[in-house]
Amino acid sequence: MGSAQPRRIEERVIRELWLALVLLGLALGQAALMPHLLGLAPNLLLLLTICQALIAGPANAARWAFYAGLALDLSADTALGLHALALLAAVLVAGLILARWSRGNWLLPLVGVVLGSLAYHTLLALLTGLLVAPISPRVYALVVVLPATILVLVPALPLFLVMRWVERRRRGEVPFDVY
Amino acid sequence: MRDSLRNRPIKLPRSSPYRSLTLVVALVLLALLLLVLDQAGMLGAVRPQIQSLLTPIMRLLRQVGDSVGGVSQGLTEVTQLRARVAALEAENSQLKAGNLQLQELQLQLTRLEAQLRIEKERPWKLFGADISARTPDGGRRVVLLAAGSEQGVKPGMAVLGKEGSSPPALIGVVENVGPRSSSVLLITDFSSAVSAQVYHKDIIASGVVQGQWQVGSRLKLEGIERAEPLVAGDVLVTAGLTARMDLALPRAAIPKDIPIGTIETIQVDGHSQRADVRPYVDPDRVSYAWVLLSQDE
Repeated sequence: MGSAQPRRIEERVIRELWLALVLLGLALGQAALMPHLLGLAPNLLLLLTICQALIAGPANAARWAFYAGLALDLSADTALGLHALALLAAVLVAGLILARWSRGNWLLPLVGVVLGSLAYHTLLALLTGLLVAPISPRVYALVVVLPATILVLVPALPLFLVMRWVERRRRGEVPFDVY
Repeated sequence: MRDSLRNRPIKLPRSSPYRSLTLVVALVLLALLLLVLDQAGMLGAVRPQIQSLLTPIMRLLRQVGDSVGGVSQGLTEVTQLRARVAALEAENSQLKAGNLQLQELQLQLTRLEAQLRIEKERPWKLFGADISARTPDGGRRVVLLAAGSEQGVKPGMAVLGKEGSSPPALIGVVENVGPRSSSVLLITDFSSAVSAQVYHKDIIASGVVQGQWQVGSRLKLEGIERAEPLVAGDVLVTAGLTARMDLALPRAAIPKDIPIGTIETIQVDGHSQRADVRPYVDPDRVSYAWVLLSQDE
């Protein structure tokens, strides 16, 4: 009954606010708490939004990307919308390219994270180059993109499996894997 | 696309990536708009206000992060320290091995110095070697010397030892010789008999030094005439007469005047005297000995 009825606008707003607040908290946590390895912190929000795009589709994950991006901009004191655009690019690239892949395929999060991370960093570098200062693509790729992608690649599979499990429990699906 | 039975449009599944592309586009445009507005400085005081709200939270989180980072750094330092300890242990092991080598070289040097000193003071040509083994049973007092015929060792040669400040003294006689090893019958063995002489002022008394280990003593001097003066503390040296005396060591070639020990106690037995002898060197404690190869006449 309740779920079949269209959600009221207030419920949706509250739900969106909660999501935005949670992502803001995560962004603050990422900025303040995340340990730095190789001079970089694992981009938890990038990983979350990509996994969400792979599980729930890019449209659903776009909201996450937008809120998370704004939260990152606020916590990192970067131009508002910069990270939001980069995360949206990651969500779109990973979500659309891998739209036909089964969610039971264990390679999905790994490939998705690589694609998403590349899109995210490419757009971020482009925008930073335009708004702040030009960046050497080769150096940026070696110093930032490669280590950052490896860092998010490590926890990608466990996080994806957890998120997929949560999503399936929410929907009441029977899990199966493709090896 | 339409449902042919009910004649109504089919809804795409919720998971379709294209379903809400409009939302994505809207969000992208919104983000772009925010970016442009922020760059143009049109967001005014909104952003500083939001950040002033976030700053205390960030500071609090940073403090937590620093403490967590401290623990993490501590753990990293522990790992680094462990690696350093392992490296230092390896270095320590190497140094210990080097130190042992140095000690061995030092020992060799000391022995060679002692040999040189003896050869300088006495007309002897010596060859030093380690005592590699001792007889496991108490039946015979024999040791194995790590020098043999290849080093010029021959049966009957005198074997000398040195202990502390003692003079180089006789400890045994080479019995059997192999290419690189030889067995040495110690003078304390019951079957060992060496001609000896005692210097007492200007008088020289001759006798035979017999091993006594198997009977609970060390050395005994026998065959001294009763009339010969013999006092405790007199010095006993080899007489160089072993071969001529037709003792149990027919090939013995022990030169004269090799120190053996000192007289401890004297017993008169009929027409002769016997004396307990304290050897200068305890053969059982010697780990390095010299074979007396030859003597300059």
